[in-house]
Amino acid sequence: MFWGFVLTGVALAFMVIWALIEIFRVDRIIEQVDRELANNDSAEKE
Amino acid sequence: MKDKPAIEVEDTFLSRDLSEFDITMIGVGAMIGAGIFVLTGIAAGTAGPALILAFALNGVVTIFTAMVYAELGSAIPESGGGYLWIKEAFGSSQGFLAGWMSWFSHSVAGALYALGFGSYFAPLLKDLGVPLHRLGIAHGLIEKGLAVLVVLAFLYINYRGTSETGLAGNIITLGKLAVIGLFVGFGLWALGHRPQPAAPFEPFFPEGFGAVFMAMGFTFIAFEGYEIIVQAGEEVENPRRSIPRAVFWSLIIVVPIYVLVGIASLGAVESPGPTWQFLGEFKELGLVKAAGQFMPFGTFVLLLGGLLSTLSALNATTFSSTRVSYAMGRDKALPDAFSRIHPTTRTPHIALAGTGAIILAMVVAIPIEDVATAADVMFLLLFIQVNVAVMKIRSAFGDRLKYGYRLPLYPWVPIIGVVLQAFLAIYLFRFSPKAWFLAIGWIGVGIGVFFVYARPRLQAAEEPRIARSRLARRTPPRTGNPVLVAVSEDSVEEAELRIGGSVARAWKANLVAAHVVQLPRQTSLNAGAGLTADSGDLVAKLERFAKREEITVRSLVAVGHSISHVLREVAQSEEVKLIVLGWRGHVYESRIRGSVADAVLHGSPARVLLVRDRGLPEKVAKVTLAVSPGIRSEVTIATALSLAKGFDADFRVVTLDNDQGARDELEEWFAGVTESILEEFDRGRLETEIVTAETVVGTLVEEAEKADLFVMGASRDWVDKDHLLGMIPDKVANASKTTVVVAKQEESRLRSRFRRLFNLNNRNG
Repeated sequence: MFWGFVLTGVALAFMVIWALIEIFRVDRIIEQVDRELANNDSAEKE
Repeated sequence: MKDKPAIEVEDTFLSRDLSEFDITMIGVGAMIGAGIFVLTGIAAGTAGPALILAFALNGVVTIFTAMVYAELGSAIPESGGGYLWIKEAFGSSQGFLAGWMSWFSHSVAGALYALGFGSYFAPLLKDLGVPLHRLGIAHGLIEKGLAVLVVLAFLYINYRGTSETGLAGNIITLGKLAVIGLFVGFGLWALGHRPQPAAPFEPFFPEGFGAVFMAMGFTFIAFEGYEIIVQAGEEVENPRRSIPRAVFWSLIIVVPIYVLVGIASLGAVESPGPTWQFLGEFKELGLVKAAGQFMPFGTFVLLLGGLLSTLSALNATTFSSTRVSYAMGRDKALPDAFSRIHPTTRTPHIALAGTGAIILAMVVAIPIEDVATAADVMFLLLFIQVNVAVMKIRSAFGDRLKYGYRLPLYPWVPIIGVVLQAFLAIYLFRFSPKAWFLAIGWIGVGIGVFFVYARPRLQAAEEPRIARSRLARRTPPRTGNPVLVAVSEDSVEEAELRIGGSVARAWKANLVAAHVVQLPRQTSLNAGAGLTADSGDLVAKLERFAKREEITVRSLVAVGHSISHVLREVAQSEEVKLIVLGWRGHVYESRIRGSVADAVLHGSPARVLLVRDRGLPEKVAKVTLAVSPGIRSEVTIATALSLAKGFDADFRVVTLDNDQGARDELEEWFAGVTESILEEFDRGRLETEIVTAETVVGTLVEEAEKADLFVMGASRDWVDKDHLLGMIPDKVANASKTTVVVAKQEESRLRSRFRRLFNLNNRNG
């Protein structure tokens, strides 16, 4: 039983922490993608 | 004017009105639905106490595919979800199969929730003393009969169309969370008071570790809320940010709740044998029986919670499967009839009927475990394809798509997702071979339909959609569009439009004429855009109006689920400074008349003119303005001045002396007002007067009667209290036979946000 609960706790923590990290990455990714697209556009124009 | 066109026709404007919180609640509501209520007992009987591990591991499996959905949902937020992306990635043949499976999996999930409803409703009726057993119907058939009835009821509701607001859905979801919270709270309390709290969890793996995988596969359907979130993608505000965040928030909320429900139900129940066997014995009612032991009114509360959950989950899956079949009809993968929108109810009624047929067939013919497993298998197979599609889309279009989120550790995350889900899907064969045969049978029928019917149609209609969605940006708003009027074909000659046109002429600016199309929640916005494709008559009428008034009219069709929200959004997008609205009976759609103006007023980004239309003469010769020092008069004065100039009319300005204040102060203030007006208006055509009034309303009505157009201000007090008290402008407008205009300042951003947070804007349409 002990190891069952440990496994459950580890799996749950893994999922929750990863999901939280991804939530906080969203804004940074949006900025990065906007920058990349702007660079692509200006490269195309040149 | 000579070098400007009379009319500019713009693209259709789609109004997005779901916030990040709304779609998080949609995802949570879809998952907390029948999954946890109906499946926990059966899964406990399969895996024993290791059920809690199965829930946690399912969370891990789910996060891999959730990242895929977050990425694609942020980049291509359109109705259709997994089906659409697979079609984009692999073309129409693979897309057809994905859509076929997605349609079936959502419909089968609906069947599961309907059966869950039947299972919960029958004992509730029994508890309430309804003598169902006297009907002489065999055990099990009553539940199925109730399931059929609820499916028919929901088909009818969806056919009629609902304007359910985000608020109503959010309250239902929070209600479900409260029931689950009570269950967990009482369960953990009871567990803590057991002499040996660890005993119910020994042994942890009574059926071996393989049973954990079986329980994982079986309960997987309870983790697929992100599919429902992305189905609403095209209605989400700021989808690039909101969709990925909502996908992850919904998992963070739901998965720990599942684990806690598992611990509470296994740990708190008293039974002669192992508690997991007790739960397994009562199957879908296992949770109810558990609650009956350790929670006051537990049976009743859980039955109610289960009913609420299964109903809202049935609604969500009916909604999403109908949208998939509608999208397939639109793409020529299914008969065109599936993409037909009912002219009156504006719902996709044929797609709904097709979905209903599948749900009813499943409800009648298949036991609940096999229905759940068939839905699990289908969802797993669909998700496997989506995991592959994300790689294809990234490699083919990655540099052109405007992602809001990109999954990390690419390509390992989708590859791991494929492996884990394939493993679970195959393992489910051991649990229910029948479900697999059902799934294979459906896929086989789909392949047959594809080759015989769909392929020739799809080849003829093929078009690259990703390129279009990336390129199809709305024309950027141009400056000089300060006046917005909502129009319909019948309202082109009405007072709102003439008043809006007059202000536009005075400001030497354009007029934005928005033809607003309101759709029920069931119908996607793109479907509504199709409804308005032929608006040539309206455009022709507006062009004639524009030429006559010597202004430029910018005509656009705006589609949304809430008229007030659409108007506010168009106003924001077009940088509008003034919205002209009909009031108490003059917007454009009889059933919502009167309410739209109120809803727009709250949270309007621009100042609003409310027009009580009593007809305007051909030539408006006299505009009268009533001002009062107690009311914010600047906006009202400026508006009335613009109207007088725009109509080229004489201008009379009055204020009332009703013996409630010092006359000297009033005269001083009024002289200031007159002076400011004279800076912009011809002295010879201006008339000002302080009128002694016995009754305010009576005097104002008399003044209105002498004018062609009467203008007055609205204080914030009036806006807030109008429903309750019927304040002065309301009374004057009702009593007067002249057209009355009331001006209202735009709302502060903070106040507006407060209202939006609590969704108060959408209550009235």
